Amino acid sequence: MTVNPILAFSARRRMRSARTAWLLTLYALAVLIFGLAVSFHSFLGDTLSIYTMAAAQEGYVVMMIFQFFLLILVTPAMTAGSISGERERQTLDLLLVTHTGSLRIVLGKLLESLGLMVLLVVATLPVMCLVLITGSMTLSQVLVGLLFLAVTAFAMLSVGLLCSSLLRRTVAATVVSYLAVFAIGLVTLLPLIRDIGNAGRAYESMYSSYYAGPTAVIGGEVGKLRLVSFVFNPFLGLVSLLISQTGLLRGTLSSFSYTFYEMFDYLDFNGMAWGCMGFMALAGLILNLLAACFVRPRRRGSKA
Amino acid sequence: MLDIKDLTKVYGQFTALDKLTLQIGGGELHGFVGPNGAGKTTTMRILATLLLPTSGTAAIEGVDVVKEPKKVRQLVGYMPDFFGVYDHLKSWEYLDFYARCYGFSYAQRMRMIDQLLELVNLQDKRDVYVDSLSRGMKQRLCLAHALIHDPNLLILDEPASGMDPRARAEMKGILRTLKEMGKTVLISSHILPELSEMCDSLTIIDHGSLVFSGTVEALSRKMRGQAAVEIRLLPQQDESQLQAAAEELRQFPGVTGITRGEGCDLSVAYEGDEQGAADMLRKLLRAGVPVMDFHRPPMNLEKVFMEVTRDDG
Ligand SMILES: Nc1ncnc2c1ncn2[C@@H]1O[C@H](COP(=O)(O)OP(=O)(O)OP(=O)(O)O)[C@@H](O)[C@H]1O
Ligand SMILES: [Mg+2]
Repeated sequence: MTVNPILAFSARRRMRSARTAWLLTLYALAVLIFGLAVSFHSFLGDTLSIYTMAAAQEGYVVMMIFQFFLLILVTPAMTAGSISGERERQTLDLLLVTHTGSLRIVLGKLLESLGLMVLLVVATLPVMCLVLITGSMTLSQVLVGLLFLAVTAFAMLSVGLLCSSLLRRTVAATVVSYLAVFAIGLVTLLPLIRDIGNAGRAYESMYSSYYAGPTAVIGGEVGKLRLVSFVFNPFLGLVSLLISQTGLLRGTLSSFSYTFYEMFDYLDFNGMAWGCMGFMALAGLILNLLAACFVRPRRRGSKA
Repeated sequence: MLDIKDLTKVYGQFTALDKLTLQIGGGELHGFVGPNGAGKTTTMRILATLLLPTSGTAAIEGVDVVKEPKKVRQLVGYMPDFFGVYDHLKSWEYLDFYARCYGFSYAQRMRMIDQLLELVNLQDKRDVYVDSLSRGMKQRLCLAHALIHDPNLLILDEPASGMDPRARAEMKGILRTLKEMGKTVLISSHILPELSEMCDSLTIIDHGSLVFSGTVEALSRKMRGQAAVEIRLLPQQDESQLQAAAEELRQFPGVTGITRGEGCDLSVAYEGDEQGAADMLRKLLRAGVPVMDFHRPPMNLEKVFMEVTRDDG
């Protein structure tokens, strides 16, 4: 099997445009400045202490969250024009009459954007690795963090791609994909209400029937419990990951709901983070298959 | 080669193609003519597997365009009427891109790209960015793109629409080369005279239905049948002599009407063959009519086009 031509050529074209260079530079710079602003003081001390280590971790957490939102800001627009742009530019027909199937077209478009996204994320690797200096995290943890960001980008790109294959105009596709990302974020937060309710009941039961404990009600053992909302909501998934990696954010989460404070030890944050990655990867795949169906020629009596 | 039967395409309420039936033989350069909105593009897009017909069938070398689109795409090279190009891509890369889409290996691609560029006279634009080419050059490049997989049938939708006369002449040369290569070409245009110069056969459609299909000679013959004979008499004839000449002509079989032109010009509506025209001239001379000029005007294709595609309401 040869290299996907769409991937090969879009990438070449993209690398030729000055915009890409600017995007990469600005992105990495933004993350660096933001991360340093938060954690720089940890590197200034004369000695390594438990505090400087925590501060470096804080810097990592902040940079991850910052990158997460930056990606969400950038990604839908990245693919929203990929198919509709071909339609607008009147190059889609030329592609469709070749032997390249619609799935290959979609995959090419996706991989090309994903490549750029991964490049963005990898470009921040040196910055993210600052946390390694203080010895408070391992390289593999940082890499898993970046993997999480890459998977998030994949899912977001897929949303944009589906919109692009459905809608005629790039502008419309861009607007709709941002709305869709926003809606997905909100809808996947809904189970949280139920989760908090459950947790609250568990918390009560802990005191009303000592022997049953929260396990009986929530149905989990210490460090084994997974909440639906944390798996389906990308941001909560990220929070899970950061908690499992650094142990930070407990206070933040608890201020959100006191019951979380009680439940904290019961939650399998690592499992939820990986579950979230799995969910995003699967959803992304499905969205792409759908997109391929809509790119297929002759679905409508289109003229353009 | 190409066999279209009762092809119909309905957009919502609007019937763009109405039971079009058409055959094209292999190795032919076939012109496809019709006014705006006649359904040329619609037909071509159906043949290129980009559009589903509402009913009817079309087959290329026996392969049905609806049932086996993948096979058809290997047989057909398609050049749309409007198309775009990617920016940040050089001419040779443009072809390389599509060649990759057809799954050709590196060695094959490198060989064919230069051949194709030479075929469409763009060798010297090899390393020029596609978006900076002129419209005519882009069209030639797009034609090269349609030839990448060496298809037997080429479907060219108004390939010469943006070309200057020189480029048009070059295009004709390219088409002739393609014909020599044994390819069948279906080429659409609004401009009948241009097509009739280079095509073997023609199809004229209007409002989605067939008006005429056949060789260029057949079309000429058909049109000739209604064509006029233009006669100019020696100037300053008096009225009686003109009347006499007109009377003479009116009696001739096949003459359906006579119109007086400027001065001593007579325009005779005549349905007859060449032999008849010769007889007519002999008769006039015998009758002592001072004929200064006697000719059948060349078929005015512009007029034919108007005639054939006249909006009869
Ligand atoms: N997607 C569509 N939806 C509705 N009507 C359409 C569509 N595409 C084409 N038509 C109509 O079908 C008719 C035939 O269009 P077509 O493009 O085939 O004509 P054409 O012969 O190529 O004309 P031109 O010489 O202007 O290129 C036109 O009246 C057009 O308005
Ligand atoms: Mg057209």
